[in-house]
Amino acid sequence: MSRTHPYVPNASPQTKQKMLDSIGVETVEQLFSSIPQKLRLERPLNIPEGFTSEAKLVRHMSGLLGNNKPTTRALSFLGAGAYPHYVPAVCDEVNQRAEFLTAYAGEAYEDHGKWQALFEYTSLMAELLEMDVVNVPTYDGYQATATALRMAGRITQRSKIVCSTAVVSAKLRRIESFLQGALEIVWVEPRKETGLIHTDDVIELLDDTTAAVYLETPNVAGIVEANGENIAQAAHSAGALLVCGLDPLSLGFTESPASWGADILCGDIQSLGLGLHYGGAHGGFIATHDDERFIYEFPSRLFGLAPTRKDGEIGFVDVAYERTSLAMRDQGVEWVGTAAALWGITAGVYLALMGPHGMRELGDTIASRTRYAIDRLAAIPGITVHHVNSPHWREFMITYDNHTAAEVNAKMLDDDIYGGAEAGDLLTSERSVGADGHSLEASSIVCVTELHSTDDIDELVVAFERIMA
Amino acid sequence: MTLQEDTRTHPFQKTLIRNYQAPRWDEPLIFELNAPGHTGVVSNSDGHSAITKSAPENSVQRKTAPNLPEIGQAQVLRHYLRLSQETLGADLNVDIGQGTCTMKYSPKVNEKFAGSSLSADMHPLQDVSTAQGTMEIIHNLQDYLKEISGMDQVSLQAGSGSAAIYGAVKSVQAYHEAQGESTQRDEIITTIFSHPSNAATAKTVGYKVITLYPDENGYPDLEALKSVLSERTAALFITNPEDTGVFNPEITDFVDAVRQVGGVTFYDQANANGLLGIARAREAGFDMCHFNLHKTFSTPHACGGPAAGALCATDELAPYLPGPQVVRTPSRFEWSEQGKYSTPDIRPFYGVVPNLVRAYAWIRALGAEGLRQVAETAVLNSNYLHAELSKIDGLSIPYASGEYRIEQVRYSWQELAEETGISTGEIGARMADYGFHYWTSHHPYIVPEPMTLEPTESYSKQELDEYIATLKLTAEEARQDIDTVKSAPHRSSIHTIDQEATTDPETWATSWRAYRRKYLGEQRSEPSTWVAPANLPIPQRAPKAHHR
Amino acid sequence: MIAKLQAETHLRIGLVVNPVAGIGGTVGLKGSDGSDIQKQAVARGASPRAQHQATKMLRHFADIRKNTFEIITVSKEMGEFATNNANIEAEILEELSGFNALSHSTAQHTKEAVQSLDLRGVDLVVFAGGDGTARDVHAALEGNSSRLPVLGIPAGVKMQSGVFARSAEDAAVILNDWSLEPGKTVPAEIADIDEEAHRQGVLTSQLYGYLNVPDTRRRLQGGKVGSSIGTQSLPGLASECAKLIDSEAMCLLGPGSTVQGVSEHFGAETSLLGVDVLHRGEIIGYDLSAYELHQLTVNYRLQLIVSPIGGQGFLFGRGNQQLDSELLTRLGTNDLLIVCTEDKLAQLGGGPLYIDVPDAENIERFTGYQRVITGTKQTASILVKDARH
Repeated sequence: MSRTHPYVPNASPQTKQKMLDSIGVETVEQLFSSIPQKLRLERPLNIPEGFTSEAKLVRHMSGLLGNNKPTTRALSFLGAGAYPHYVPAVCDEVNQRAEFLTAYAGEAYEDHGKWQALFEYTSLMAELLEMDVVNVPTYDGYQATATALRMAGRITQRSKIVCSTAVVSAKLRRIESFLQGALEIVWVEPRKETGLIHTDDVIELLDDTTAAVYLETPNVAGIVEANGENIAQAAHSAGALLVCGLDPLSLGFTESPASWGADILCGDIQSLGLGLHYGGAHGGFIATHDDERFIYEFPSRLFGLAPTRKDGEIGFVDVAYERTSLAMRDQGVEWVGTAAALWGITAGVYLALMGPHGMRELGDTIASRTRYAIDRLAAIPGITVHHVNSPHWREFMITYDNHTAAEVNAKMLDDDIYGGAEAGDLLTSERSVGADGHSLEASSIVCVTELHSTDDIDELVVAFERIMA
Repeated sequence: MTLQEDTRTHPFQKTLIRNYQAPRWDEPLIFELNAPGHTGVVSNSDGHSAITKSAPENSVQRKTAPNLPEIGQAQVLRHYLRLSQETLGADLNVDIGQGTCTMKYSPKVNEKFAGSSLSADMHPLQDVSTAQGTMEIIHNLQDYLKEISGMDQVSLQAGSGSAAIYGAVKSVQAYHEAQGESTQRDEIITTIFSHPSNAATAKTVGYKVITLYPDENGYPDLEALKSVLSERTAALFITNPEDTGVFNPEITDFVDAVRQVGGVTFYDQANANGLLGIARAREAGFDMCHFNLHKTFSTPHACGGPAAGALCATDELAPYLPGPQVVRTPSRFEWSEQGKYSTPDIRPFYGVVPNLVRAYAWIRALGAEGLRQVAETAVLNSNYLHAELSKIDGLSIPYASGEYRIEQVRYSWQELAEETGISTGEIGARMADYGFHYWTSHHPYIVPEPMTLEPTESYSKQELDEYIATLKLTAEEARQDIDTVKSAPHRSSIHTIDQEATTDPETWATSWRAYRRKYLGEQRSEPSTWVAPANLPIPQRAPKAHHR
Repeated sequence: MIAKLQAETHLRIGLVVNPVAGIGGTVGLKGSDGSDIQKQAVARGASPRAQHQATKMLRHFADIRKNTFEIITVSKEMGEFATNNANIEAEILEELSGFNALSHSTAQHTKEAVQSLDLRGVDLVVFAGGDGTARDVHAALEGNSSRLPVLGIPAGVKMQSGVFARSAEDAAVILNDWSLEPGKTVPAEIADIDEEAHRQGVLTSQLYGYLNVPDTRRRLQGGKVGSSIGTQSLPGLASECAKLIDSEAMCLLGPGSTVQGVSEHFGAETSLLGVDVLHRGEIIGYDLSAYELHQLTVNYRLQLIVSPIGGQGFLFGRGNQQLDSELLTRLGTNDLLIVCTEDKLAQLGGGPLYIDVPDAENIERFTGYQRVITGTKQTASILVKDARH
């Protein structure tokens, strides 16, 4: 008996015939009559035959994925933009709910729950960031940052960005590429002695064409910027904005740059319960204060509260929808499309679970373990930890006296340790992180989170001691 | 006689019209669940959270905890599950009303692969020797998409279809830069029926945009194209079939004309669901194309992402693609180095890997023959709808009369609107009362009172019949009882929203925090330092617009 | 949950029903202008639709209104019956009590009714009818300095003009929205096609002028007319034109709300229906005739900004006959700037646009594909045809 594929019900001969009869054709081929023969592929696709059962597919996929060795089966100190944090089971549960997983562009009525969940995400982020306006997530932190800077250009109608170099180089290239033709970038480097951006160095670059200063905290080497308030004042006196990139999770430990007077905050939400997914789990946030000159420059959708015709009932709708390319095509602001909504909902669940004290405890834990690791590694002969006297969170940079980072990591791999991310892949020498004079090839950026116990850090120390000896 | 063959009404026979009622939990905002002292999850601190006094971190530690609600774990779960119930996912409804979105079935088994620790706990920078499984999946997916498109190289880095289009525009720019022509070639041509992102990404990159309108048969106008081609042409971004579902048989003439003036041709195949194994970008002569993996290749739409876009190019354009690709070496899979001219990464790392895994598994489950069956059935379903809906009074089907359509059709309720005063948006709101989604069209409306349906391969004939019957009923309701239709929805989780407040800076509330300040008079100490920078220019605004 | 704005205003609404509007449509005739058609229609069994539409609007308005209001209207079929059917008390204009609309409806009735209502100081006039009625309302208010706003309840066959709500219910909603913020209005086109010619299949379209309509966020019906209301994005068109205008040239500004809106963005106040001249950033000629245009611009480079007008999208030959052959001949290759928002182009189905000019040379020059400016750094290529072919 002939059987349809489980994913394609109407392919069954009986059903197909009924439908062809309704249409008034004899074969499916006739339905393709508008496609000229010369455009047709006259052979079957060269793709393996489909699996004849779900069980066989599972077996195949298990075999392939079995060739992976995930971080859970090793001891990993890799971060650099994809951070290992615990993903609460409830985050996974909500993320996998069929209703959310398979919903799409439904309106405020059919998909009320989706709109509320996204409004709650932006609202929880707003509390954490201390900003009134947060977008429905864009693709990732790269896009969020690049867009935040273009927003600053449009808001001020100025042409130049003063940008910190203490940012991962792939992100800087992305920013440059997105700003090309719209905004010029001048670079400000962190001071060699502290790894921090110094206010004087920013002031020197500010003029009446400066749209914004961009700072990242913690920066690519895990250093928490300390001069934000002064830099914000300097920028504002020059008529420029301060745009800050940050990991929202770090606000469990530090104050929001909003408290410095920052005008736009941006970054990635990967740390908020999304997991690693081989670098495939990102969402970008952009936050501003409730000022229409800022709000009208968001390309993303913004959700707002609104009353319904029933007393006491609320619904959720787009705020200032006419900004968007969906309403205005290319006369809208940049573009908006499918991006990372379900990751936004998931991050909202994470913040709701963590609550104020959970976030704070987590922030403190990461800070204290990072410092523990810095102290332990600084004591190992043959390893230099950079800027030990500057405040760090989650990451720090080290240089080996006699090894390249690749050599060290290859040796550690034998012990099932994934050593720190190799700095040569993350930084370009001309845009230093204030570690001038040290070879990037001999440097790593080590990441420590709440998932690393002190025992784990001790194990890393032992491995380093063995290699350096 | 079997039950199936018995067409008589029997006690168990369900009517085609569903007496639907959306869940209505009247769920408060999550902030109202706040109960001091409650907590949803405990972080992994083991008592090691104290910062020593001498540590430099002391200087930047925050003084107070962030202002988040305190809620127990089950309470958080219950809240979000109620919200999920108030969301009409494709797993629950006959989701053919979100035309152009390709709301096909996302197989459940693929969730196991994407969510497995063997996939989810992989770090993008771990040594390639420990990531061979995922890399082989990505490598083979690249190969399959090359075969499906006929292109030579595939970049899987883009996080969505629009991001892939952006990557294509940047690749076009890099290509012309390498030829020393990037300043001269400053125009990108697209069509009004193409997704708004084609025009919007081109514009964001800095191109001038030239839009072509359809001729009287709904085809893009070849003569209009020829009238604008010149040495300034950077590229043509075009879809085929467009949202009308009408296939443009002269597409090669479009491609040839653009090539003659040195422009690049890009085929927007966000949705290629009707063409899998039937026709490819290669045979039509295109330089580049892209697929949305969340459309044609079944990855779940996830409330609007995460998605994934595959950007494909011929050898000539491949050096300009963004992102690394997996290459096979004699011993193992490696990530390729980026070339001198390639577009910088458009995303961190390698792309939305969970969706690459899902799309790979979907292709493997179907195989070559299954993929073709998908296309044939999607087109069969679309033409079945077309045939049945053409019997509805007041609904018309503009353009290319007598031609069969590919995977979707843009219909028009103009006649019903003239007869009754109903609008397509109002019909959509009424369809929600029966448990359906419904979509009109992108703006601006070329087809008046538009409705776009795309049945994909995933829905059974019974399900399609249910949608058809409900549309018929709604059109009849517009004639008999227009007030009910105009005041819809009546059976949704909420009632009609008064959108007025969200269009005015004085009254909109973009977050709970903003609401408290504006409506509850909350005095706020933080941030004490922010005031809007002085003398910001006041730009002119577009007139107000709403979503439906 | 969200506090709503509750303004206290009292609205005075004038109501005029054209009792024979819409008679042609139900029996397959195009429109109902001219008494022969009306008789023919009644003979074929048509029943007037305007009463029904006006009643529906009133009922809905009474349901949803947030403010007090009063209605002043005309006796019997021209409004009184509709208010009675809706159970709404209305003041009847006594001076027009002799009208017996059904038996001998004329455009004059509508005009007199509108003028009487204007004299009574109503806040706006709501009328039920089609394009013909809209033209009568326009004629009644032509030269009127009060700029009395109007709103059409759709009840005709042809509704090319931009003054109509999408439905009777929508008219009630617009009225209610507007009652919260009265005073804000935008101009809308009064357009019509020649019904006799249309029945013969001949393409004609006329722009008769503009009336003010309520500026609310709910869109009026714009489906068939060039300029729909309040939906245009003009800054982009203006910035593109600004790049192309030679300040030393004489730049002619064609009629219509698009060109007027564009001109506003570069600080020029122009006539809505006339052709004006911009030179060195100043308007130096206002609403000029062809002869005056020649006099003023002779020996200068000529530029021209026009936007398609009327139901079918005319560039030349409708509503701007001042732009005569001689002027058009003087235009250089790049000196014709056609501006049109994407919304308006979409309503025109993406073209074709038409010209109706007498001489073969200009027909040759201005037909074919023309570049139309549709926004910032954005153009469309649209086919322009000779209307006489």
